[in-house]
Amino acid sequence: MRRLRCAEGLALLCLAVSIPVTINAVFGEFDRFKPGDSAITPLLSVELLAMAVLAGFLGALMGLGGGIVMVPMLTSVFNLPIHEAVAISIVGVVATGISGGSAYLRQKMTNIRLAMFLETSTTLGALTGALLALMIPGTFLYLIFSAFAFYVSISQVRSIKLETKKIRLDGFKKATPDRLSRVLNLSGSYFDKNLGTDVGYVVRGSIHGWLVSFIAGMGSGLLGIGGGFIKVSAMNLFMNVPLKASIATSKFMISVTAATSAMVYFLYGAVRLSYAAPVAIGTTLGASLGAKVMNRLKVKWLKVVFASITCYLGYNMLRKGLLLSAGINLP
Amino acid sequence: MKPDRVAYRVFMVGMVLSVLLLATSLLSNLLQLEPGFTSTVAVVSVGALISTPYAVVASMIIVSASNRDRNLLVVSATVLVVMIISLILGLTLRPS
Repeated sequence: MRRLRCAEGLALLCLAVSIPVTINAVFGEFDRFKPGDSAITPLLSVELLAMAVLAGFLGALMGLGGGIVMVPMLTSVFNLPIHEAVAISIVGVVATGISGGSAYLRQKMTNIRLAMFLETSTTLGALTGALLALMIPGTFLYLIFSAFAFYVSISQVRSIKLETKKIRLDGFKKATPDRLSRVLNLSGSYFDKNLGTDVGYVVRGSIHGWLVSFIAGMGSGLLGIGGGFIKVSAMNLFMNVPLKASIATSKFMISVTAATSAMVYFLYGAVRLSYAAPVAIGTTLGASLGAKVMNRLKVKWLKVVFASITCYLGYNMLRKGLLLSAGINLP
Repeated sequence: MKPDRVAYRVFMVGMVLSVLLLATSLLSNLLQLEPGFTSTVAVVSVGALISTPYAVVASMIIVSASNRDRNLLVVSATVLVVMIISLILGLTLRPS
């Protein structure tokens, strides 16, 4: 056990040290990593930390990345250009993913097999989306994703009573698994602290969920929108996974997806490191707190908050889509 | 070895290591210490943070191989390969 821990620590340390060394060798200069970097004031650090704690908390509570809070705040409150805000936010998203992901793993809420299975489609989708983004304009995609967000929002509100009833009557366990779910052993269970009971579930609709996750990945590659709400919805609405297990599993997946984009920004020196430190520390703290709270909440309230956030996301995408495609400026 | 426990441990090691380094870089930035030291610690800390998920996926491959869990091995290896391809394409196709 001890040897295993040492090996893990050593592997990570090697990775951490090898990255800057390799980059220094490839790009030949460390200056690349200091785009306009300067010392930040204690007040600014505290403000960034507070914003990041809120983003991390919400992200862990809902299985989202937290970019929904960070990017608008970094641009409007901290006056950062959008590309710098996105780069800092993506580092924060990785931090919430790691912090929330590890907390949910400890609580045995994450379905790691399901996460890895869906991650194949999300990463493939993100890659496809990123390649397509070079060829096609994403204007109308905002409208499509907006429609999907409204659909998810309405479906979550409509399924409040159904989910509570299903948990009470062990309904998540009574489904029949599809072939892929059986072969990959995707079904699982978790302990619901609010109800004080084990909730077992049988995963079905694996192909359906895989395709929706692929679309989530494409959305994130094409438009830079967080795929968190689509991943949670894919598992909860299409694959018979309870909301709490979906949130925990999505959090694990987000760390993996965001790390790929974050690495590209990082290697390009686009991350403003002096801002990234308080943001990453804040989101880590916020996500640990959010993960502690989530399992104690009633599913009903989680669904209401999730539906509200998804509705807000849908409205934002609709606004962007209408502005870019028809020049209509919604409030 | 249980995949969940290994993933949890790798996450924890990555998180503790990067938060400690991030805090060091934040403090040295606030105290306006040697700029070279501050930026090096910042680079290493953010590097450690974003390489943690790569390490988790890599550990899943090792765990599934040692457990002879062929399905999880194929799935984890696919994820890691796509992550690496995305990274390479992101670096080569991104306009400068």
